[in-house]
Amino acid sequence: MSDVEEIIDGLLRLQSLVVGPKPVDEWVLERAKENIGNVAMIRVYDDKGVSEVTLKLTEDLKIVKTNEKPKHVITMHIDTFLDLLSGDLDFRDAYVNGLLDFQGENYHIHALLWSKAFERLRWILKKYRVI
Amino acid sequence: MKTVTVVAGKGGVGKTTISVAIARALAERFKVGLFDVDITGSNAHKLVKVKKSYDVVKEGDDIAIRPAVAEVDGREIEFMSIALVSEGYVGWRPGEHGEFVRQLFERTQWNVDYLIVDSPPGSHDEIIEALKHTDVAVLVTLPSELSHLDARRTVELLAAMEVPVAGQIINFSYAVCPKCGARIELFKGKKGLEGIPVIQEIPFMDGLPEIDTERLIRAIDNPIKLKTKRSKIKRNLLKLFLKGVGRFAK
Repeated sequence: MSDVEEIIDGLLRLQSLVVGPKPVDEWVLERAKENIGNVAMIRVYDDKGVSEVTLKLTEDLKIVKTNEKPKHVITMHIDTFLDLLSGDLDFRDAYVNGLLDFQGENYHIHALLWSKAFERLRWILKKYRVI
Repeated sequence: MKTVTVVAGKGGVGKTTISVAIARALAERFKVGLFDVDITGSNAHKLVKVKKSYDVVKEGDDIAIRPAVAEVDGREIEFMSIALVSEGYVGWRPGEHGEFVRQLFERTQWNVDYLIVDSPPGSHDEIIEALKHTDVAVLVTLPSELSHLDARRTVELLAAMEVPVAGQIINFSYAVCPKCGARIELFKGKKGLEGIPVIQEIPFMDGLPEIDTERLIRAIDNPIKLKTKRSKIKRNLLKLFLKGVGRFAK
């Protein structure tokens, strides 16, 4: 298992601990409901190569790993991925400076959703005082 | 060869004039090239006298560009600009600008000690491409809040791309008395420029009318590294923590 897969496992584990009846952000909740069933792939590369993890948003609004074919793919370097999570790098700055690559239909719109998803992930990491 | 890129963020602050002045100052002692990468607004060719045009030569299966030869105040420099190809408007898609600059950086055979790059305003692909090939940047601003706003964006870009900065030239912030040569500060206050925001973390450099060659070389040889918010230690700690949680989940 690669570093990236282990990191994403860690995030999924944290997610299962904090998903509750009260959402962190109404906007995120609404968009999540609209995107139930969406499958997207995160491709993260480092010096050793590329790791790919495909994720799906389930009906109970949890993100789980899947083997289904992704509709969208987001690609970034491991440093960008970790800096986005730690809050050292703003998603918008990474987006406009070419540190992120998106593929799929209407990918600019989906980039906005990814931005919100990273906000949510940072909230989780803050809640557990990791960052 | 050391590549020095003149940046500003805002247009009309005097990047081209400063670029030519820096090239002129360095040409006093060194072999110097001037590369205008402002694709849609190139005008450095108007401030130098082009004596011999560029050439495209075949090298084995590949091609290379020999830069033009120009003169500035009697000092010979090498020179390259899209204006040598056409002085008309450029109607390329933006991505092509960066590609043009990339190919010219890779194919032009500069035979110089210093290459001065005159960049366009903003943070478009041609300036990103130029910064990838840059050793040191020189920031040019005006004593104005709007210029400061764009300069701040450029400083963030330089920090993100880890390009060190020799200094900043605040153009039009002083005048030189034509009779006695004394320098008259137009906005001097107790803490720099009165009522005008300045980029505090970058040292000031002398600008026009004439750049002192010795001070310029010292600044280029001792640039400051801009601090970024991104921390390798924080990144590694986060990685360790999340990997640990991931393993715990098994």
